[in-house]
Amino acid sequence: MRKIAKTTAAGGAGFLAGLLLEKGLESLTGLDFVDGLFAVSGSILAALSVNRDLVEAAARNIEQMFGKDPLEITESEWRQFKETNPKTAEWLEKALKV
Amino acid sequence: MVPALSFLAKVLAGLITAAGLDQLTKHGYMPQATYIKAALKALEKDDLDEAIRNYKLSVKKWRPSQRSEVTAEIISSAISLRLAKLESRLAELQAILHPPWYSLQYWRNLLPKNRDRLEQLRQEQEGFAEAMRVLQKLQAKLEENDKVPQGN
Repeated sequence: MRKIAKTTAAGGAGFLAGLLLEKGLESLTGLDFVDGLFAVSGSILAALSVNRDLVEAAARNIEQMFGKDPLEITESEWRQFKETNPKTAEWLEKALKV
Repeated sequence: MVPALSFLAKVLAGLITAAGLDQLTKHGYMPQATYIKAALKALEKDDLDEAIRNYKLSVKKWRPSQRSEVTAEIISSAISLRLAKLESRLAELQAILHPPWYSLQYWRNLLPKNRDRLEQLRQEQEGFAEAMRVLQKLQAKLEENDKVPQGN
């Protein structure tokens, strides 16, 4: 029984010391190393979702340009957009399979 | 009562990984998509500086791709839209603040009761002009020739 109590106390103290060290290092360096470990997998996820982000950003520009939802723009408005944003328009046509 | 050596080793490994990744990210070595995504997120939050910074990082070590070119065009278009809105408001203010002498507005502006309002409009005009200068600088920064990519 005495041995269990001793082991529990040592484990608890070790955990607290480790936690303090972790938080101390984070506050000193400004780095969150748990986030750091996840950054690698994050960059892979970023690659997968960047296409959707591009479409959304282009849609926002269309909305600001014509003051309406991109789905509601007319043929001539689309041509106007295409003239000023040729690369984006080409990308959208490919991405949305227009 | 010190943490176990294995725990410290894990902490150190995590710290080195994070510091390494931080440096890789700062210098443009992370995958291009990471920077493009960050640029588009910044644009969504209306942070044009951050969007341009991330776009520049996306082509610092990597060759420009279709996605990076589209991103640049989207950012440039967002800046142009803001510039157009500011220009239109400035034209409105110009018409109020500097009307031709034969217009009614010119004589209205001479009335003392309109002095405060005109001063407010003048300040607004200065603010918009400054905003336009900032946006033009950002657009020039975006269009600056990129360095020759070293990697990939």
